[in-house]
Amino acid sequence: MVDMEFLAAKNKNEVLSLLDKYGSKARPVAGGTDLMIGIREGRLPGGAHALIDISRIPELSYIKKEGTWLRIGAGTTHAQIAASELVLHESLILQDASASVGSPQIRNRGTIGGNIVTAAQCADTVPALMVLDACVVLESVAGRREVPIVDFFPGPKKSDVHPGELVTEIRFPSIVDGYGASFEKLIRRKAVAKSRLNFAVVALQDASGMIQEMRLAIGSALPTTSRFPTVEQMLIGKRGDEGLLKEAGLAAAAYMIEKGGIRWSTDYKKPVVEKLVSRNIARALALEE
Amino acid sequence: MEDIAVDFRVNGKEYHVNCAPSARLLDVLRDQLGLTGTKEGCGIGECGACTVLMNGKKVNSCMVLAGQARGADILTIEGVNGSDGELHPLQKAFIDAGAIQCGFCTPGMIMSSLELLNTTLEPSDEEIKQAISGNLCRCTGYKQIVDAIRLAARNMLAAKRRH
Repeated sequence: MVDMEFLAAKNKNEVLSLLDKYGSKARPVAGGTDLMIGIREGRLPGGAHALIDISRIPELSYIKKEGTWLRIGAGTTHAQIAASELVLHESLILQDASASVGSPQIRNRGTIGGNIVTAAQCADTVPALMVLDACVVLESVAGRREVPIVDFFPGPKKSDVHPGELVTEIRFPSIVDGYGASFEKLIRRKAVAKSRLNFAVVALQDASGMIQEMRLAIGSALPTTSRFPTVEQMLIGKRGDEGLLKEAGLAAAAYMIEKGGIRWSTDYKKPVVEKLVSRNIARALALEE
Repeated sequence: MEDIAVDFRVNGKEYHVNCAPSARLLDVLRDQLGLTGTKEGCGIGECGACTVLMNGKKVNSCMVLAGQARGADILTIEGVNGSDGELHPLQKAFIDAGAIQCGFCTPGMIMSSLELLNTTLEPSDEEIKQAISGNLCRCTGYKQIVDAIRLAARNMLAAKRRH
């Protein structure tokens, strides 16, 4: 059992006041699906001795479209996102990513904000949000800031949350007609399994099949989930065919090794990255079912 | 650290308990309320043995801090049978289909499938498998469990049509 304080708040402003008062000594707890494992082992993250419950604050849980943006409250559960027609329509892939998290029980508690802040390399929503060009909204008593999710992870298991700040929203520009997308999670079994690798692609091609935009992110390939800019750039202005898809797969594996070096898992991950990058780009370009 | 107070409803009954700030919903149910039908398997949210319904949704009670259940409506395996003590159709079907061996996963399996049958009258096998995908059974191989849930759904639908 952990010697800790449990703090309840009625609304977002009360949470921000508590975070201001406690600083790094308090951590918000939403679904708790990561934190509870630490508590069972007798520790709270980062020397905190208090948890602020944010799981019962309705104003942190919403999915809404505003202009060209889709806004998702950080306290929205994976189950709510996976079941949302609006998310399906506006993102094409985020509901797949959310539906693949853990188990039904975990998805009923775990939140999108928690998935991001925990900063696990295998987090399922993160690669999807990266290819959606999502921004993370943080609030504190001092104000509000937005950080592109691609810049939100300074290192493994680290997220860019300052003491006193709460992640309150994730937002991204809606995917409009003409875009294609694909998400795939590689796992040892179909449920309650951490991703070995996960892949997310958003692509846009013109009427003649010329690739105009390409976004690729992979989780668990590098120390932090990342976009693969060299692969994205080599595809722009070209038509997707078998040869190009194969080249893209090779380029992704080469980028992984260039940035991450050779690791014990590289023998396994290199051919898998090659194949699954090709496949997911093909799916996003509607070249493969 | 001082105990915290938790007011909530379990199986339709109001409770007021004091517990450690780090106590889990599972600990309070088992150790303070004596509702030991909810089992602790892995304790890390992977096996589903501790599944209960919280405001109608299945959750791992090992993953919920007791304080987070303030004001919640909790249903455990002890609360699924009728007020006359008659077994729930799911409980009957688990017996009839031979879906119980050691029995440790059974309460969690029943709570997970209850959430499904509360909203879906005629679930497909795929929906049934999805509903219990967060619950591990190391004895039966799952076939009898899927059979039992399908049987319960049919019996519940038939009973509904009779009324």
